[in-house]
Amino acid sequence: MAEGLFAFAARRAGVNVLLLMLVSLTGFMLLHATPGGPLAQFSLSPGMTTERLNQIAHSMGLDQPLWLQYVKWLGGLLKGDWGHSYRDHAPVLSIIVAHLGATVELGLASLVISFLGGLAMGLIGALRAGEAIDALCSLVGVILLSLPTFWLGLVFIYFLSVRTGWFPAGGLMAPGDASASDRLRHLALPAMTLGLVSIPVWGAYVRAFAGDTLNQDHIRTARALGVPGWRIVLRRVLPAALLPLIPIAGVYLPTLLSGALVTETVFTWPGVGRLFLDSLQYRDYPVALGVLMFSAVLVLICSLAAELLHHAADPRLRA
Amino acid sequence: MTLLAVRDLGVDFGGPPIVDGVSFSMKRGEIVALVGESGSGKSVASLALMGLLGRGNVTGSAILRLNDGRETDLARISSRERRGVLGRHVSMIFQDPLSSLDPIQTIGAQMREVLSLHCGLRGGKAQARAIELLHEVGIVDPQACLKLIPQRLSGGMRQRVLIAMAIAGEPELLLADEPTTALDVTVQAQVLRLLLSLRARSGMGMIFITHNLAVASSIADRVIVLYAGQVVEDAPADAFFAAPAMPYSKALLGAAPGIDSVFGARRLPILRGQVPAPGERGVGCRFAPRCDAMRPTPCQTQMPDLLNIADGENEVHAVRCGRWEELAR
Repeated sequence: MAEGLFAFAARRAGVNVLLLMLVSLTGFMLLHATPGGPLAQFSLSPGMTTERLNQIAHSMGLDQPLWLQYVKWLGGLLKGDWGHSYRDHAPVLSIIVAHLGATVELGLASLVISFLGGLAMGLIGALRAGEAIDALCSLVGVILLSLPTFWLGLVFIYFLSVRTGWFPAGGLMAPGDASASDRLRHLALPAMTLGLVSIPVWGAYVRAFAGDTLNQDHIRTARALGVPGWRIVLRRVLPAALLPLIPIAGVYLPTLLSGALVTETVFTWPGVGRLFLDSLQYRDYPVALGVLMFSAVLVLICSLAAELLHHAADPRLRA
Repeated sequence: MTLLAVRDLGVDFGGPPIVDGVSFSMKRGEIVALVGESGSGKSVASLALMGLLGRGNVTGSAILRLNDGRETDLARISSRERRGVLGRHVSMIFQDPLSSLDPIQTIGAQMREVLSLHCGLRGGKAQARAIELLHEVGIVDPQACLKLIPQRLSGGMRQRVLIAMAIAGEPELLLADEPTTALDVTVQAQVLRLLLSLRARSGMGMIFITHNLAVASSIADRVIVLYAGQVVEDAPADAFFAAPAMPYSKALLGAAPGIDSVFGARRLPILRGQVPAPGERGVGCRFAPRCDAMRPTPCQTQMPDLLNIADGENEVHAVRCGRWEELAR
């Protein structure tokens, strides 16, 4: 590589700051352009007068010019003051952090399921390319891919919770029960739902990357030198297939960590996705904007981290 | 002492045979050049000898006599036996050294893998042996080389590393599939000299697959010419380059650029046409359509046998041509 790792990171960071500005501006303007605007929440209250409404608008600075409001909000963002919820006046940042734990838990659990499932499916497909089991894997993949998440979630709830009582139908934990086993039981169904539908995505990548590697000359060399098949898969095919997955994971991970809207809703999972939907429903603009900015930051941080990790892990990229 | 006896080796992938009744034998420490154009079946034959093709695709036998006196049939080897044979008794080096090493493992890691598999060496002992092997193949700074990934090495150095890995298990037979084709001419000569010196030291036999007759003449004890999947001439190198008997061999030798043709003393004669595809072969001699000495009979009507035309009792100079006697006069 021509430029050093530091220069690369610095350049990327600069681009990222610009992108964040763009996201914040777009998000801010969009939410102010929605019917009712930021005051919608208050104008619906019974007994609300125009006078009182103007008072509220004044106290919250909503009567100031839009650009000034934006600059103030942006300044707050930078100082760590992301505003306060219209609902309970709690700081937006602490609300998001409070919901983050549940989302991270679900996101990582589903990532483990989808990644391991995809790895197995992709490797089987690549190693047995063209055979019946390869076709079976692609068929299962297409079926999983075309399952709507909400439907799969409802099916799980019906068969594994309502009918059998094996798993709880939703929520993070049973009230008053803080045991790990109870949390795991609550985690099982949403994690399976979210994990299963992503298995074919990882499977397709692994199948393609592993297939490419298997066709390379150095695999033939290893075989001609008597290296056993399992060792070739473990030492040569797997690392070669995993390396290009790092930047892809960097793009995928933030979509998990900014909340799985559908799954969290179906399983009443108190994560960031639910928080975003709720805040939109309540016209709680500071929170909605906060989640939006939080997701944007996550996307940029994850993709930057993934690229740095890729550089560190792939000896070919190290100059 | 016979090292390898190949009898009636055939390879097909469901259609007409790619390799068709190939027989030859070679002695311990002998270097045999397997010569032919693209499509002659030489690479497929070598993969069959390595047991790297499906057993259902290979017919015939290829008996390898190991140093300990045991015999094994490379054409019918099970995948379990194969792992015990490959790298330890038979090794192979390939045409493209640039892609024949794992791009993301260091040279050291790849060499240690082979050394632990075939010699049971680990840790410091494997490291020491790897350095010794790299030194043996002419790598100047083996210690530094072990820490590098293949990308940092030149083509010639990569081929040396591959040779070092191939001889790590001290095999009796080395198959070399066009190992110098992808290299610069000067590097080519170095690698050929290296292979000759390794043979002199270890006495391993070598099957050297090439389409380059100049390369064959500089390394081979015997030359076997393949055409359309068949052996058409099998001769000691001296006899072959002095007086090839098969018109195809003559044409190949004529088409090889030498010093005089490079300096414009004569134009290079061109061997017209190309090797017929497996499905397009006639009943007669497979070279007949391109042969200047072709006569409708017997050339187009009858497949000539591979005849031994050597004078001596124990010599082999076999040729597959219906008119070799007339042409020799």
